[in-house]
Amino acid sequence: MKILVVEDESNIQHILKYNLELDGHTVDLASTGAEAMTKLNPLPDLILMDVMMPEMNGLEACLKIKSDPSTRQIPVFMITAKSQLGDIEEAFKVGADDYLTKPFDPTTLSARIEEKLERYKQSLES
Amino acid sequence: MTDRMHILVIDDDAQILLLMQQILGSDFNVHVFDRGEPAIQLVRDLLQQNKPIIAGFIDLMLPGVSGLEISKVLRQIDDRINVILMTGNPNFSSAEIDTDLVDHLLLIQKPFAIEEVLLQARFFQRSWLRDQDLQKQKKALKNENEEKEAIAARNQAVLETALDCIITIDSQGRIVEWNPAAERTFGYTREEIMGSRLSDTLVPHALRSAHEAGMSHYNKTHEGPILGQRIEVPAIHKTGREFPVELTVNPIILGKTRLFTAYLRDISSQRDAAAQLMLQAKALEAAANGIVITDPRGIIVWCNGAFCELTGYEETEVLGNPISVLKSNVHDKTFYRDMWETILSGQVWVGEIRNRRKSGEIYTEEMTITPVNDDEGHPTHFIAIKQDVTALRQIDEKLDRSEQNQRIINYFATSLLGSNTVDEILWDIAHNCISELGLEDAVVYLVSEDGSSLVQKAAYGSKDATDNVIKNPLVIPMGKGIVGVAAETGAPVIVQDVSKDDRYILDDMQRASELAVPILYENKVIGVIDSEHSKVNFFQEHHLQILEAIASLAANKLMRSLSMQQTEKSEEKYRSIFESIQDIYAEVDYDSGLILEISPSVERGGGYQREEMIGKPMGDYFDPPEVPAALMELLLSKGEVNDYNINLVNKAGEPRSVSFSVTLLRDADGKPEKVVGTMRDITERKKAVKQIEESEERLKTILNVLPTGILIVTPENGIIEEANPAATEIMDLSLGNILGQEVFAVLSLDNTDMLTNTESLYQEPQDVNLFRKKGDSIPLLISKIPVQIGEKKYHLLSFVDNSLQKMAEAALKTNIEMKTNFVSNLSHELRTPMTSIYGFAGTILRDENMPEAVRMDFTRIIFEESQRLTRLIENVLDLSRMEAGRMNYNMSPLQFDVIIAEALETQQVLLRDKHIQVIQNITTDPPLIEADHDSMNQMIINLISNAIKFSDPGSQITLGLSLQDGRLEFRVKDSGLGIPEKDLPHIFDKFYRVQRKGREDQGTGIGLSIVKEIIDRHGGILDVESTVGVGTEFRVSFPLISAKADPASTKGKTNNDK
Repeated sequence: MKILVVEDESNIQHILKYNLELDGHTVDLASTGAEAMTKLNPLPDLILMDVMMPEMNGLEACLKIKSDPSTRQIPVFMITAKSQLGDIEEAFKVGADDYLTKPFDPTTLSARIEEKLERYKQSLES
Repeated sequence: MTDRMHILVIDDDAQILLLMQQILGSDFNVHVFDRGEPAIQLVRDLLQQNKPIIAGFIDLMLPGVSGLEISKVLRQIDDRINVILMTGNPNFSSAEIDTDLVDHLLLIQKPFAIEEVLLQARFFQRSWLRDQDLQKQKKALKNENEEKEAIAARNQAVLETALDCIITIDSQGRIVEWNPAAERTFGYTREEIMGSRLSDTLVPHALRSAHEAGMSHYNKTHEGPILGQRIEVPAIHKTGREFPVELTVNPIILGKTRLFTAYLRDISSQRDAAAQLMLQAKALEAAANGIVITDPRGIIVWCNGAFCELTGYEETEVLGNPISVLKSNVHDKTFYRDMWETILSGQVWVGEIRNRRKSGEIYTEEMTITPVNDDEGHPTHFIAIKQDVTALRQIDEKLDRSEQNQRIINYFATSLLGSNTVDEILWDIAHNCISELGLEDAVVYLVSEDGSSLVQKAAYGSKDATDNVIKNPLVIPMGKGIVGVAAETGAPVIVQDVSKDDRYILDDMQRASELAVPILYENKVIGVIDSEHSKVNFFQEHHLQILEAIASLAANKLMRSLSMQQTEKSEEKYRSIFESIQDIYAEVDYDSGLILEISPSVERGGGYQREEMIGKPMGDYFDPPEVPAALMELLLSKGEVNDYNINLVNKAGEPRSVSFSVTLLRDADGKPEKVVGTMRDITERKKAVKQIEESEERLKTILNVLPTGILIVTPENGIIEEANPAATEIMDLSLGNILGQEVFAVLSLDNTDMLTNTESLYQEPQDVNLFRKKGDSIPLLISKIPVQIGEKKYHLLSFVDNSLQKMAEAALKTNIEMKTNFVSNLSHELRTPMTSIYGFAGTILRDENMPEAVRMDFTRIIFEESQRLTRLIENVLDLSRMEAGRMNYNMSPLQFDVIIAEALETQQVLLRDKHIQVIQNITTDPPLIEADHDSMNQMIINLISNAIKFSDPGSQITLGLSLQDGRLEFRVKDSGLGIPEKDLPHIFDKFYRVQRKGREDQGTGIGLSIVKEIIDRHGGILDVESTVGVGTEFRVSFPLISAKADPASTKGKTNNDK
């Protein structure tokens, strides 16, 4: 799978890229929401979007991606540092399809992502 | 006073009953019923109690028993009841009522006028009273019934003993009545003759047919030439003897029956006797006295010349006529009755009698009547011998009269002296007329003020006046009635027989004659004295003379009293005004200053006595007394002064303010005579005014100092009427630019609800923003209150500058936000390093085939992140402690350069890594400051580490320490990224990290917060200067401790290596 990781913290970028590539995925990186918008062609299979970023935060970027008919179908999982209900609501409000919370266990990262993707695809069919 | 009379009203209409009660209730006892039965019962009851109903107003149409039926029943119970039937049917006529009832019924149509009802009721009342009076009079005579009987008996006796034969025949000529005289004269007994025909028995044969013819002629035509005439005819005795009779026949009609009654007398002996007498009489012919001979009935059969002279009648005029032709009205019936009784009983009557001559003149005669009897002792003739004593009597009378007149007039004059008021005079007249003049009644009328009518003022006699009060004074229009005529003409009027005079106003009293004498004053009619009498021809010359004399005596007195009354009335009026005015009215003599007159109201002023003030100088009552002089001067020049205020002290010692309004009166020569006018105590008013003024003052003062802006606005047009100084300040406009302006125009609000809402209700304070002229806007808290000032309603806008409030709110909000942010930021800050640690460690564990170099790299990151986390936790704890005030500072004198060196030491690794050079401009032996060692250390470390963080590798950091303005100043300067201007105010905020593109910030964001906290706690001053792309300088200064520096510090190393 081609995964676009949008995260401003390099450490986290690193962790995500290393682990996802270890699982056989291709990982593209972007540090800001704005930068993410430039990496949509060709369409990635999944976007992992951090919320707190300078220059267009993740929520904004998600909204943009989901509003654009050409990119709408890309599943977007938000990476939230906060796990409160309000924040999760916010994520869904802007069209995010699922979310991950930091800190995440790198050992189970891929599995969880695939599981969520599966669910997402099922929901599309229903 | 008698009980009120009882009147009955029966009507099924409750309103009528109520109405009747209203109309009649004040004068009568009104009994109302809606049906007949209880009314009938009441009439019976009242009758038993001797309180009879005098009149009944009965509705014709009643349910059940009709009004008519009830009337009949009532009249059966008491036939004195007058019945007035009331009907609403205009077509109803009395023809439908039984004839024997109709005479006693009156019909009035509904709706009826109140006056009509009242009139009827009163009419009945009066007639009732009159009947009662008459009855009372009769009852007073003990022999009432006996008299009746006596009369009846006498009548019977007359019949029985009548000398005349009284024979009654019916229309067929049959004898139906036959008296004893007839028995004697004709010889037939009653039994024998009854039923026989007259013509068959008494009428001589020769005359029978004539008699018959006359009868039948009469029956046919009702004409009878002989009827009523005295004729002499022959009649036959039972024995057949014929003898002359004198007879009179009268027809009698009893219903449909016609009868004839004949009065006959055997005149045979009479004739003879008469003839005899005549001879004797001839001798008497020449007698000087008047002699007249009558038969027992009083018919004159003979008279002499002297009689004719005396009476003025010719012989032919009197012969055959009754002697009663001479009757005057002077004597009453008793007189004549006595006379007849005497002579009929065969006795001689002697006496004085007033008779009337043919001319109508009353004269007095002395008379002797001698009866001449027949053999049986019954008088056959009367001989009356008369002597005219009129002249004598008249002279006597005149003497008497004039004496009497004089006496009466004197009496009147005397009594008038005693009467002073008009009423007394009038009543005196009325009383005296009755008592002295023997009049039956006397009424005094006065001409009304407008001269159009005469008003009854006093009345005495049988009219309804008692206790010198007339309940319902009669008012007669001028010219109406005898009274009116007398008043109009100014001449007395005597009417001897009112029935013959159409000027007479008919009333219910049975009056026969009337005398009305006008009361004249200087030829002007001011009233009338009126008297009526029950006999005709009562009033004599002397009555008139006396009344005229009384009238003129009274006139003077009346006029004086009347005008006095007028004067009294106006005097009354003025006096009451004078006495009741609140102000004090006074008159003061100009020259002497003495009080001529002062109104009673002066006594209210406290301690003044009006009586003692009159005649005293006005100045006595003023303190100071010269003040009136000043007033007088003003008066002299102006003539009149209004509302001149003087402060004086009254008798009780109280200071009063008095307002004077006075006029100067001059005499005919123009010389000042007196000062008149009013004065009013205005002390209270002044006090009140002063109080109001003081309140106004207070209010103004309050408004002026009030920090709240107040605007008073007219609701209708929004014009600002008033504004206080606070308002002008808040609005930042001058008063002149506010007053008179529309509130919308000068008070620009972002929310004009408060202004536009014209409801006069209290408006809750509202947050608005005011846009001011110079372009700024300030928050206001504004409210509106409706007020009423005097008569007018206004809106009062009050507002305060809410800036501070708003800022506090904002600060609070920020604070809250910050706190909220702090927590969420903190969690975020904690999570971030955790994510790295967790992530990298997990990855290492996961990837067994991780290259060593990568593993080392990851491990290093884990290590660093753990450090970071630790630092963060420590910093947060520190900050919390600092904020909670639980940080323990150990304050001691410190040498700052030493601490700088210590701090620098800890950053060597970082410095080396980044190849950053540190330049030190540190003064040697700096003055000591009082500080906590560890805090200072931390502060310096934070500042230096920041500088390192934000500096480019290979750049320089400069540290400086020097004395500036009496304080120790420490500086850290870098030439790194610099801080954007917009971030500068926030850099000391917790977790505030400047957002920079593409650069990570490894910091916790609270380093500078800690620096600031430490500086604040030490009383230091922190300053920062920065330019983006150039660099940043932090400056901190601390106060020195005084006197000598103590080089030996308890903590820390002295490090001379720099």
